[in-house]
Amino acid sequence: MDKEFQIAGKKLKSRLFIGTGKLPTYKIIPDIVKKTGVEVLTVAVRRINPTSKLENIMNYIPKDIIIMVNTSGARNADEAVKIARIGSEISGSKWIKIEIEADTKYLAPDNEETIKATKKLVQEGFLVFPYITPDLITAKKLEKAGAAAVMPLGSFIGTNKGITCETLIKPIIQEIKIPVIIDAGIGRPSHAAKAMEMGASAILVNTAIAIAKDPVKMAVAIDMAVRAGRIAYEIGILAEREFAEASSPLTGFLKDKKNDKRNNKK
Amino acid sequence: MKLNGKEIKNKNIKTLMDIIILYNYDIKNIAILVNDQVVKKKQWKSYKLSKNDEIEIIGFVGGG
Repeated sequence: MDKEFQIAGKKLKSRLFIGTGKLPTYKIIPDIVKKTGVEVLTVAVRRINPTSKLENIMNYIPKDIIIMVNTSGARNADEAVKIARIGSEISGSKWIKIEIEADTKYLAPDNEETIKATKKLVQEGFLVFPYITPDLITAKKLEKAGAAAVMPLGSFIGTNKGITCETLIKPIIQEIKIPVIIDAGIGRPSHAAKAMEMGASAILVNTAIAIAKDPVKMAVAIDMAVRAGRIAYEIGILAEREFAEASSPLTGFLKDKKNDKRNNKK
Repeated sequence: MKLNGKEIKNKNIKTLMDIIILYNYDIKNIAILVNDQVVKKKQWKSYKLSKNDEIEIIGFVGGG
C-alpha cells in the first residue's frame, strides 16, 4: 500500500486531491491533511478587500502541501491564463487547474478554450491540469499540448451523482499515457472507489467533503475508498457474469434428483 | 485611484506599499495588479502610483 506514483514529475503517495471550496472553516484543513495524507489541495483566486474578515486560507495549509491553483471564474482562455499567472505569483506553485466555464447552469467546461489555455500555459512552464467534459479527442489534444494530466468530470460540479460519464471516461484512461484524474460529481465513498476501480490515477473531491456534516470524517471515508478502489484495480477486477457460479460446493449427498424441481428450463 | 473597483482618496498613498500598510494587508499571500499588470513584490516599495491607477489586490480563497 501507499505505493508512490508520479504526476508532473512529482512522486505522490495519495491519490486523493481535495478542493477547499465551501469548507465551513479553513481551520479544519490541517486535520484533513493529517488524517488522510492528502498531498495536493486546490485553491481559487479572488479579489481581497481590505474590510474582508475572511481568514487567510494560506495560514492553514501545511507547508509541504502542493497548491494547485484553480482558474475558476475564467470565461475564456485569456482569462484562465491571467488567473494562472496571478495565482502562481502568490503561491510560487506551477500547478494550475484550468477550469473555464462559459455556462452557469451546469458549469460545463469549455473544452476548446481549455485546449488553447493549456498550450499557452505549458509554453510558459506551468504544470497544467485541465478540467474537461470527458471527450477522448480533447484528451488526446491536451496530451499532445503537454498537459500534466487530464481531469474529466464524473458528473457536473456539486451534483453528487458519481461517475455518470463512465463510457466516455474509460476510453480516455485506456488511450492516453498521462494521468487521468476524475474530477467533479464524486459525492460519496462508493463513487470514489468506482473511479479508482476504473483505473483513474487519482480523483479530486471538493463538495462531498466540504459540505458534509463532518468534513474531516468524510475525507477519511473517501480516502479509504480511494485506497480500496486502487488496490482492487491493481489486482484486477473480475468480469461480470450472467449466471450464478456457486461459491460453496454443491455436495453430492442429496442424491434424489427426481425431486429437485429447481432446474431452470429454457 | 481605484482599489478593487472602489474609488479611494488619500494624500498619504504614494506607493503600493502605502496601500498595503494603510489597509493592513497580509503581505505574504497577495498579488497586486496595477492597470491589469502584475507588479512583482520587490517593486511594491518603489512603485509610484498616479491618480488614475486601478489597483487590484488578489489572494487565495477556498476553491475546487
